[in-house]
Amino acid sequence: MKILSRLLFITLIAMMTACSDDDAAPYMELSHKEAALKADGGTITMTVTSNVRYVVNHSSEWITIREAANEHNVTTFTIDVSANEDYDDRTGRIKFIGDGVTPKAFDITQRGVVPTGVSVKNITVEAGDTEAAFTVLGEGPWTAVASNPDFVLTPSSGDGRTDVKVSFPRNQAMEDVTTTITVSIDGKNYTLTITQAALDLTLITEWAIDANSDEYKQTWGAMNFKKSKAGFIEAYANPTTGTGSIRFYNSDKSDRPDDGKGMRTQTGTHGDLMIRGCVTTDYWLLECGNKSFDEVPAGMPMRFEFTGHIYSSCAGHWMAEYLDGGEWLPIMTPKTVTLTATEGLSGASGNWSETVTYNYEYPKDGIYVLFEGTFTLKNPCEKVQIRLRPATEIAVCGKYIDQISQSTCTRFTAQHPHDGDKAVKEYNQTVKLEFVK
Amino acid sequence: MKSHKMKSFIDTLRKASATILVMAAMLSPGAATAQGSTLSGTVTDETDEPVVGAIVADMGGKLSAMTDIDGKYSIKNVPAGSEIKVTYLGYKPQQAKWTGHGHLDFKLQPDVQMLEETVVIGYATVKKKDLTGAVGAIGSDRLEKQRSPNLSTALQGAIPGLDITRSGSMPGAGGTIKVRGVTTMGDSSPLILVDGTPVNDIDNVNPDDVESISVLKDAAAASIYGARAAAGVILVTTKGAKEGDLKISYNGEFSLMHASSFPDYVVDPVRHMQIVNETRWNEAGNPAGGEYPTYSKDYIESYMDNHFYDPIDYPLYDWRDRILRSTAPRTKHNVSLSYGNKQVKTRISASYEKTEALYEGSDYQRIFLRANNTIKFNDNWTASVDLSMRHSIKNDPHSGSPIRAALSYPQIYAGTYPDGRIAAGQSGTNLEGALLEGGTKKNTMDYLTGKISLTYKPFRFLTIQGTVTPTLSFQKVKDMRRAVPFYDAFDTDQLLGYVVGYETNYLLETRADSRALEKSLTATFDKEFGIHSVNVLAGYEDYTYDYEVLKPGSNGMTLPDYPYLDNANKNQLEALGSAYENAYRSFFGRVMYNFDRRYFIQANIRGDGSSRFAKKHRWGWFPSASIGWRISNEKFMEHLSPVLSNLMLRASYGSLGNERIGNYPYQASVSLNNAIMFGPKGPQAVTSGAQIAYAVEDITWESTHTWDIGFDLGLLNNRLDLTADIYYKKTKDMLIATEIPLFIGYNAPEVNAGDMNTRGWEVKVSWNDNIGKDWTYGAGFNISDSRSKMGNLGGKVQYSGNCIIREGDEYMAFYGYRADGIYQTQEEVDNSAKLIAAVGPGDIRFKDLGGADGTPDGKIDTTYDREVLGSSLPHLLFGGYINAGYKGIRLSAAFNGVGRQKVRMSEAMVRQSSFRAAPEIIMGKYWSVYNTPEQNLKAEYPRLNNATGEKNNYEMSDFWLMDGSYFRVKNINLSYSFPKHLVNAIRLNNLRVYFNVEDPFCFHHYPKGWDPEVNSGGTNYIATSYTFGLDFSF
Repeated sequence: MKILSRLLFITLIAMMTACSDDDAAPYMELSHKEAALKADGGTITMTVTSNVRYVVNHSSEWITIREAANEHNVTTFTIDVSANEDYDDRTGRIKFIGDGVTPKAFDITQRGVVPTGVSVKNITVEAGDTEAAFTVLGEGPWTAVASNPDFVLTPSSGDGRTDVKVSFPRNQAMEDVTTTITVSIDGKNYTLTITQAALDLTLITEWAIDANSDEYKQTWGAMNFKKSKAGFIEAYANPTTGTGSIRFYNSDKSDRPDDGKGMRTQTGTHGDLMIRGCVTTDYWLLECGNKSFDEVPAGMPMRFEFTGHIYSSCAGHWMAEYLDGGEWLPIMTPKTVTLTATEGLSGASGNWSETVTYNYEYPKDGIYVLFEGTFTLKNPCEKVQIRLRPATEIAVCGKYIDQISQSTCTRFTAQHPHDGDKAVKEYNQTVKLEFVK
Repeated sequence: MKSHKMKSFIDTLRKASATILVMAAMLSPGAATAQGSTLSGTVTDETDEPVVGAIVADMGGKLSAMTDIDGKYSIKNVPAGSEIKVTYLGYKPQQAKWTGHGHLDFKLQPDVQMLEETVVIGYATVKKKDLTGAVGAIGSDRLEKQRSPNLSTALQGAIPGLDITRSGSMPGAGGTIKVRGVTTMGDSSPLILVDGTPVNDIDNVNPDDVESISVLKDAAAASIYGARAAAGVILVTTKGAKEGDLKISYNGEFSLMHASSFPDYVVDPVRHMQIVNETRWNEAGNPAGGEYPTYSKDYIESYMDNHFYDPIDYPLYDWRDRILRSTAPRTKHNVSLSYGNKQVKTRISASYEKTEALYEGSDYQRIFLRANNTIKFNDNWTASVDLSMRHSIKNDPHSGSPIRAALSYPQIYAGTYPDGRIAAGQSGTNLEGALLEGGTKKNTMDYLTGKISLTYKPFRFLTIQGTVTPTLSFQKVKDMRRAVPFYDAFDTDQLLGYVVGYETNYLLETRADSRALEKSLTATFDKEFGIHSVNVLAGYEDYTYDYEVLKPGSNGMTLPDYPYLDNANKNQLEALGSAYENAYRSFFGRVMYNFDRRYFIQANIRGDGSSRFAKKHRWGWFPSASIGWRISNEKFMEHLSPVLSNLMLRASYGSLGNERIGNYPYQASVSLNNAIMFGPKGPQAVTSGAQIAYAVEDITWESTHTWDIGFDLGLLNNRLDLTADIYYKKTKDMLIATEIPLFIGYNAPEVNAGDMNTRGWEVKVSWNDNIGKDWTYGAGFNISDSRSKMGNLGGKVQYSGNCIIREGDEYMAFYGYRADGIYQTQEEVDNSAKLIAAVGPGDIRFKDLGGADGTPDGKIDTTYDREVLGSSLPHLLFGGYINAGYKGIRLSAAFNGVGRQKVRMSEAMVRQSSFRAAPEIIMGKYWSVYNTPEQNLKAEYPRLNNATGEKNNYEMSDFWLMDGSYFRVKNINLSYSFPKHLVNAIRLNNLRVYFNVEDPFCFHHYPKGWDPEVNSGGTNYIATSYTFGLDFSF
């Protein structure tokens, strides 16, 4: 409840009207019902025409009413409005309450003190933000311009106090972006700086893989495919950070003999996804992207990390490569080695020799090895593509792959690094690509 | 008694006997052939006033004439020496010999024997002196003297044992009537018969049409009406024309009424806000610094100054002045025409009356039309056709009575703005807004009754009469509630809301009609054999009644000013309808015998079969008998005859029935309703039917057995009249709901199980005399009491409001806690048994009367700590009159009252609430934290605290019982009848003016401003009315 301790003004006007008015219907009319004043206040004059007794009251300390003249049924009121020293506008109501007539109100709106310039000097926004706002303060026409053309002002000109919207793109760079906005009001310039923070991104894409989760075991284990059917098999579709997928690419191997057991997927004891019968034209493909940028910028060193066990009765030498400008490039510096074999996987004898170029080696079946490398894209791309492929057709057991065999399998799972010969039974490692600062 | 006063009582007899005399005279045309001169003269009464309609005849009855308006007569061809006899009912016949020339004037003297009052007792009229049952009667003279607007009001205090409680003086308000107290737990209202036809409200009769009213109080008198008579019978007999009448009479009245009193409330802003603060502070536990929880100190202190500056935000709104008028007018016009000759007697009366209320929108208008016609075909055959119509319109605001609001709305809320627009009132609660713009309720009633009877008298002593009485009634109620918006004070377009309860336009129409048909056939044998007088009545009667009501309505009507369903909102329609019918068939008989007018015996029996009961239990037989011994007629009392005019001892016993226990109590009736069932779209209302009442086939009559002993004493030539009765009434087989297990699913069925015993007595005494020729005076007083105790109720206890109905206790005895004063300190509170934990100093302390083991258990609870606190019913009801007259001036006053009654002081009298101001009577008398301990010790009312008030202080206890006895001067009437010679000079028959004050004073113990007959909620009023009236006839 509004507690008004005392109304501030009262005037009682007993209208001395002509006899003829005594019989007239009661009336009370105001010359006007409202007035608007600037902050510096002023004086208003209004008249009340009435044939009844009425009281006038208000409760605003900044309003003073003077009764200037009273002639017949018309009373002229002079209203003094003192200066408003606050920034906020204020309103006051003068009430005219007469006997037997509708009460009338005279509403006064007074502007607050008007500052000139801009409402704020500095604005800092995040890299991902695309809008900022400020208010042009003051009266009269103004124009504004931003030093950085990427920063668009709406509106860029106006008259009096105006809210201005600033639109700009996301900052996909690792550096801050700044612009200075200059507002000209009445020949005077006021500046405002907008700083858009640098892209603060380290991790591009990551898969937190719990190899023991039933999700992978079931979906993967149920799949069958044929050696003749080239194409991708989805493995880990949704990264926990960034965008992309992990898939296995099966190359067309229809012209190669096989052991008749067919190619198939399998889930290992620890939930690792296995492909039986892979060859050097097959590979695991990782696509790594991030919504913070439309394309992965070039020239930024990035590190790929994966602790894996990709070997099993198959190649012990692998290549980890990234695609740059349509060309697969090794993530780590390749090495070469010459491997020989006297027996094919089919059991047939022979003398096979092969110089293998690789950058990733498994010394022993069943071991988990941290695989990491750093590379820098020369060309920006939508998603960084990384593939892991066997580098040789000579198996680690010293046999040559003379047929597609169940024994040649690859498995993809992320594990903790092997502690010597002893496996660390934790299956919650990550696969990730990150910028190197 | 004076002759002019008695005329009204003997009209019936005049019809029966004077007419026959005249006819005997007139049916002798051969007399005209005798030779002689013309005899003429004047007949006057003992006051020298001309007697109109006296029969002057020769002894053979062959020559006769009737006196005219000047008392003059003239008979041709009267032989000299003829013995001429003048007869006029109520006067001693006079005889004189005509010498053959000159005038023959007669001055008649009243015949005391003939003037004995007669009383209608049901299918017959008897001399009041010969009554052997308890019958109270008043005649039209009393009604005309008192000139009350309603019959119910006129009867207040007039007859001992007749208890009439008004429902206020609002337009159209009537009263509730009880004969000899309570008879049953059900409907205790008496049977009211107007010329033998039942009516549901005595105020449906035009008081100007009433010839006499008899109240049959005991079973011996009432049992001729059997099943309907348990709560007594009131017989209203209307006026008919008399032979020789040719008269037009007019009565006009104009009244101004004002409320006899209104209670004052603390409506002024400052005190109201202080009281609200004190209440809230008390409710909050009086925390330090919290004395101004609702209105700040500054706000209160500057309110009146601010009001001066700003009456919109700081109103000082006088609700009482805005809503209530100081006076309300009433006008009434009554015209009657009567004409009577030997064959035809007609009396037609028409009456219009309009009464307004003390507030806007309420008035009551009624029109009565009555035509009583009797056609005598010959000595054997007479027919009568009586038609009556009543048309009444009662207008009320939809809001109902605004009186409580007008008196108790605080002035800090405004009902209207200065320009008359509706304001928000109390946050939207605004009874003035509702009253002025919230719509109206118009109730139109029409009653039409026709009574057609044919009487055949094969012998002088045998009368056979058949009567058919159809009655039709129509009711039309148009109840239109209009939405009442309220707007901003300054911005007439800004809607702020609607008055609470008046958000939409809503029309509810009611159309009800009923038809009743009563047919009766009676045979009466009436003959005197020397000193043996025998009157035997046998009769048959049947009655059917059906009623139907239709109630269509619509909410959300678009047009507020078009109250017709044409304008209904099709999505919000409602319609209700119901009907019932009942019938009875009766055989009845009565034998009255007296020996030498000393020993009287009367026996009645009536058998009634009612449709309300199952076939096997339908018939009830209600016998009664009464005896009387007029000791004053005994030889051994002759020596007392100068003093003892009459002494009659009476005793009676009889049984009566009450069938008013619902229309279909024995039948398995199916009740239709909308049950919520689970349908395809979720819960939905489905029209369904179920038997909800357990049908008890052997349900039958409540019966009332009455024993009555009384005497009538007349002393000093009957100037002193004393009647006294004591009686005992036992009502058996009252319907009581029995308890059945809940799982049976029926409402508790009612069975004939309850008994009630009523003991009572009545005394009536009056003295009427004259001093010389010009002075008359009289006074009367009556007093009665009764006490109704509950008998066997099958162990059941019923609670009704503040009262209990329990075996062994008086009916409706007050029941509650015993108060032990007001707590003065917290220590007292801590160390006493409490009803609720929240009580504190200033609240009422109750006595710990008992506990589960019969001893006080340290807490106050509803089961063990309440007891009977006394009778709630009025006792020692009294009434009376005094009058004095000198020539044409007459001053009379009537009074009535209650000698002993306990009344609960209602909450409206003593309690404030959030929106209601506190009653002025508690100011300075309630317990307050602002008082000194000494002042609080004297506090008469508990502290202001609605929280503990609700659950503790205003619980029923003897703290709130007060003395409800009162003495009311009901009526003071001053009239002046202009002398006959002056009146005759302007060709009028009589001319009377009168000034009447109704309810001028009442002495009582109620709080200031309250009236004993105002209801506990204070929504009605008793008006003092000042009436100027004019009677004349020509």
